[in-house]
Amino acid sequence: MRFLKKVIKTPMLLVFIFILIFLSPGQLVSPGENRNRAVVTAVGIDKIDDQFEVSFLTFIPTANQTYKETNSVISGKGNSVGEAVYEAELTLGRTIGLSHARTTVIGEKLLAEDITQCVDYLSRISALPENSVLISTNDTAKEFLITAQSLAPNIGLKLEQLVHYNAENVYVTDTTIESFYNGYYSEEKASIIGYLTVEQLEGTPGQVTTSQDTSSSGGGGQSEGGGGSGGSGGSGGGENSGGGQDGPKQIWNKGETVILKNGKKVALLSVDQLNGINIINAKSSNQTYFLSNVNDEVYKGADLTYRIRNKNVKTAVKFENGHPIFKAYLIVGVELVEVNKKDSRSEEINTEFSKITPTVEKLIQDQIRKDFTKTLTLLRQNKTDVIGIRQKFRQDNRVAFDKFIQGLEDPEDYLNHITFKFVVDVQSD
Amino acid sequence: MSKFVLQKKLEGYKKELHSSSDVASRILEKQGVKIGFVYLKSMTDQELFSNAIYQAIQNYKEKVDMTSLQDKIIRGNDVKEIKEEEVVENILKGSIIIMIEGEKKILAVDLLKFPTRTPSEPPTSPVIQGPREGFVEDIKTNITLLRRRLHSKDLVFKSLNIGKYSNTQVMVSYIEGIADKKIVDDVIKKLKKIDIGGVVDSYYILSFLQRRPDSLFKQVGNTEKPDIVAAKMLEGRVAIIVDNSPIVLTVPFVLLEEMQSSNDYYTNHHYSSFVRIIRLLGLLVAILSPGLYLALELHHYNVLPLNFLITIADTTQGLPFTPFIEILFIFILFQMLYEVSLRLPSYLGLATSVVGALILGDTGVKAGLISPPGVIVVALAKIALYTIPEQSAQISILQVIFIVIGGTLGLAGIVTGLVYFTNYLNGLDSFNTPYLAPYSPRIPNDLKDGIFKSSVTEMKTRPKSIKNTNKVRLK
Amino acid sequence: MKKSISLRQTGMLIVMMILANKILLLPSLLYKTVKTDGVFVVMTLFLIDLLVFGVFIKLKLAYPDKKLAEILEENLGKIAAKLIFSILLVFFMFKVFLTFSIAFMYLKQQVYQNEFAVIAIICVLPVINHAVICGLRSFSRTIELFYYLVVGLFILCLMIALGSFKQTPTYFVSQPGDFGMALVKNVFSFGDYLFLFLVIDRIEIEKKDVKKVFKYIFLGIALVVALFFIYYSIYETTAFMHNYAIADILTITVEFNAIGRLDIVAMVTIMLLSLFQMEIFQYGFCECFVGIFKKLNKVFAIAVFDVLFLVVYYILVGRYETMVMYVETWLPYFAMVANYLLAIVFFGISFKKSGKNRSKSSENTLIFTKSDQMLENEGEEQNSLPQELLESLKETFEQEEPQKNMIKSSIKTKKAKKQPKLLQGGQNEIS
Repeated sequence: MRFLKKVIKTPMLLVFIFILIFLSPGQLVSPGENRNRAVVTAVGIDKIDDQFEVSFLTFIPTANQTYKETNSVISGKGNSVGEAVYEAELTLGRTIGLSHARTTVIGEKLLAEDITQCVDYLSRISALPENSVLISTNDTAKEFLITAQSLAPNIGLKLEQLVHYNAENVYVTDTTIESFYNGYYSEEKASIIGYLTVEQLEGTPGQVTTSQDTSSSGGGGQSEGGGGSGGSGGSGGGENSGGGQDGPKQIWNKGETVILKNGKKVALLSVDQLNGINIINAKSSNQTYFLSNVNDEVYKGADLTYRIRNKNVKTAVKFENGHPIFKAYLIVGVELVEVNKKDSRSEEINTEFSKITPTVEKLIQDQIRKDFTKTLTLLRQNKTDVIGIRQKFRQDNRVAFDKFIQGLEDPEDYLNHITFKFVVDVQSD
Repeated sequence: MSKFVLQKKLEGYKKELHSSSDVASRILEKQGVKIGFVYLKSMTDQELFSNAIYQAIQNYKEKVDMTSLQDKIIRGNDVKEIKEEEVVENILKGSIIIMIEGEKKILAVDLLKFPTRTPSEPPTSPVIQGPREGFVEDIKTNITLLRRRLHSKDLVFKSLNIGKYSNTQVMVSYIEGIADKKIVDDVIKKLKKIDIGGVVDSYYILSFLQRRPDSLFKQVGNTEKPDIVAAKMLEGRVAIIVDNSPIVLTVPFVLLEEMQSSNDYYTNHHYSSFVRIIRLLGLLVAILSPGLYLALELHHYNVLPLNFLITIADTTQGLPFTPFIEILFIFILFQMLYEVSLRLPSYLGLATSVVGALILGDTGVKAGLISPPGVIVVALAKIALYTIPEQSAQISILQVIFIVIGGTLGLAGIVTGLVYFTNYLNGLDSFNTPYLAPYSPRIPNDLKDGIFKSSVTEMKTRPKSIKNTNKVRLK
Repeated sequence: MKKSISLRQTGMLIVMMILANKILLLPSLLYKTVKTDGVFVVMTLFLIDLLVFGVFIKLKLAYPDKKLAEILEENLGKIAAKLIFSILLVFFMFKVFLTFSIAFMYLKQQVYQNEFAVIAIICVLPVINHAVICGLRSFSRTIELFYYLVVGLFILCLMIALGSFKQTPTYFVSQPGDFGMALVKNVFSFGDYLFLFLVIDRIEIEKKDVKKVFKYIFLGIALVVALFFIYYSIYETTAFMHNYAIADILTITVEFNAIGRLDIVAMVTIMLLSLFQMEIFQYGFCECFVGIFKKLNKVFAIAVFDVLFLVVYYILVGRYETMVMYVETWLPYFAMVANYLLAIVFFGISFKKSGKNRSKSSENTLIFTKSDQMLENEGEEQNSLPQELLESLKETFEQEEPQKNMIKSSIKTKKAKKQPKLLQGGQNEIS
């Protein structure tokens, strides 16, 4: 009775008791989210015979004192991505938790079709972070994940580190699900995503090793878990299921990117091509220029390698008689990183000597122009504006640009009708 | 009055005290005058009695009567004339009652003596540099300790007696001219209302001074150090000193007082500010960390960074307990160890800490019964608790509450719980002083002694959150 | 006794109200109709709202110490007063629901993976009820304590998001018709100042202090506009997909992958803001309820609110489409009435009064000379315990104090302020 009185006096106590009696017991016996869910660190999506196959690189909690990460690849098939995920969950006996998925891999076949049909699932269920990196591969995504899984124990390289490095230093632009959508839904309908290659290692096919004894080879020469793991139903592929028909594989990072238009692959850019357009991207500053056989008053027939150390990019757009002109002013600070010549003179070997001679300046300027033009031609052919040219013009003078677009036969082909002008100033860093 | 009468009278007083074995009576006959004494052997100074009274009377050459007794023989002591009905009360207070056959006057000589401690550094609030005296159980000593710090005619002590059986002396002390009269009256009014069997310690009357007596949060300050009480009285607070208790109460009380340690005032104020920030952090960590950890583990694994999640998932894998039970288990384990270390004799303390920390914790983890993150989180909370040792009881309860709501309701529960408790505390005005002053409501003047402490030279006024009648502290 | 809130607390209440309703759903809703011009829609609505605030100040200066009920009854009669209270009652009720359901959806989708309904109700209802029982002063103090945390977290969110700032989006892309439509449709997220009218007698604002309040208002507006700006520049074309602006701007860049999800910052901000918003508006609801049914007390009002809340919960909450439909179809028109028509009415009243009183105005304004911590000065120590209920009753019914005393004491304070060193005696100098 006294207790009741007290409870009535302080209603909050009542609430607390309610929580204690009705809600807490449920949580008291709950094993915790991380035991109910499979923590997925990477997702791979393929299309095989009109069916989707979704593979998950899943972290498997193992009781250990060394905090080692144990992963395995699980996959499922279905008519849609959702169905495939469900099948994978059945296999795994856990709910798939996508909140830590940092990488999403799209298989080659799907890339040729519209990839939105699979990305839709991932972005619709909000658990997948939008900053999850979206990349594609030349093989199936499943194969990619299996190979990626073996990366870690062998050369200490994690997939996420690799894609992170690429996003930071190679692509410079984001290649996330969000950035894909951003391009996809923009008027240009073009987006750019990273591309990693899975390739057979040179060596004896069928050479299979287990993770216990592969720690020696620093270059990642061997890897386990090579071939497709057992069966279609997506049984736990992974650690010890080294299917050895194809021999060990390795992920090669060539810095390539795929250009998508309307969600379809239209072109594959090599790292040089990418750098060609990245020259007007102020954030990127990692390009190198190789000038062969330079002959001037300083360098006599030397091969020079320059690297951009810093860069100041100013772009401006204007209309001349209704014709759009894109101007870029570049101030490029370069550093001489290497000189190769058989009979080198002393000042050439001197590492502190990094003079930009007029010849070198001219060569670098030409190289920049050439690179840019090469990639621009590619973009023009595919009518894909991934560098936001349209945006710049529209912000500058929407009326004029809209008028210009209306005057075109093919409104999407505007890149072909824009004049690009470059002013490049090369300075020593 | 014959001898028989005196004897009878003494017997009568003895009987009134239920013939307790420590009641003593004596009759001294000198030059035909019979002098009777009644006293409590346990409460009076026997030596003083025999030297200053018994011997003195015997050495006295003339005839002894009440006047000569009072004026000449035992004048060195606290002698007073009392009425007959006051005899028992005075016996109980440690006086010796002197009667002379044939005379109506009764004398009471205060020879109270009981074992006392000397003021020593209290274990609850040690200082690195600063006064080390602490209050003792004897109220007179305590008053002396305060008087020594405040040599002022304005330091006032008002005496009350509380407790039907204990009849404990309670002093309300304040500085006239600084303390708000209304608060003093209020305190006295509240104390007078108390009708309780006995007041054994000041904690007994603490609840009566609170606005919400059964609240979890303490609304009355308590300290064992006279320098703190003096400083608080100088800010306009009222102190309540209870006989037989070394803990002195002060009102009004604000939560911030618990963040302030007496050390802060005896060291560089920049350092004090730093330490206070640490204490605030400690408070938050102590209250929230186990609940937060549980909320993240049970409800929001998705916001944990992957590496952290991997660590937690790996270490909790294969544990026999669910996370909730695990945290509760570790929490109770720590609380038990704490309780044990309090109760055990100090020479066993080392043994418990070794058994507790090393054996239980380490082997618990190694045996796969508990997870290292769980141990770390609870231990962190339990250690952080003692950045504010005065509030450790309250915080322990809050920890349990937040463990329950964090585990059950997740992050939303913790956030709403925090808001609820803040709302609640904001309603806890102690003698019209906002409990969370000077931050909520913000009182810019008082911020000088808030989390960031200014130098003494800058604190020119007394705190405004506490009502006082003299604002100027420093001219 | 009257428990008023200080100028500073008023400013903080306003900031909380400005922030709460507009940082989750609104940016993406606006994008669907007017694209990036949502920023301008918000700015326009803020401007209109500022006019409402102007009306409030005018009314406050005209009736410095009267309750809204008294003002309305004096000028419009009892029935009209009740009608106005009823409109406000419904307005506040739906405000609470709207805040709750938006926060609910966010938390359910992004924060809680499993069943959340019971948790949400248990977390919200008792706490806001308790806050209402504790009263305006108590939760204003709480807001004061959390203010820097909330604003700090908000700014932190914006700063983190700046890291993924891409480019300034193209503005002025919408048609005027769409723009107008967007203005009308989203009025419901505004109208925060109506709450101030309800507690008009308990806010200490003097004419000279109005500027200080504007400081807070502009901070709130600046934060919201900054959020819109950053949100649109980060997402631009995909803004329609991201319904939880303040949280979504944090989960965008690759760089933040490594340190886990930062949206816990946004989570806490949203929870606190929503909770405070609901406390404020439920208090508004209860005030209106007591204003309409004068014989019933606040506890009854809370009970009614809770029942209504649970009923509407099952109809509305958690069903995104239904909720958006309600909010966009008929609530805007209601909000127009509540937000602007009432403001016009109040303006009329204040205009009438200030015309009458132009000559003898100085006497009244003196009442407000007690600045920030007038709250410390007043109020007897209350009888001891259980009290939460008792207090609420007291607060509801004993809010008036003889005005003369207040004038006297405030004059005293004013004198005291001028000569701080001579202060001796008197109970009123805490401020």
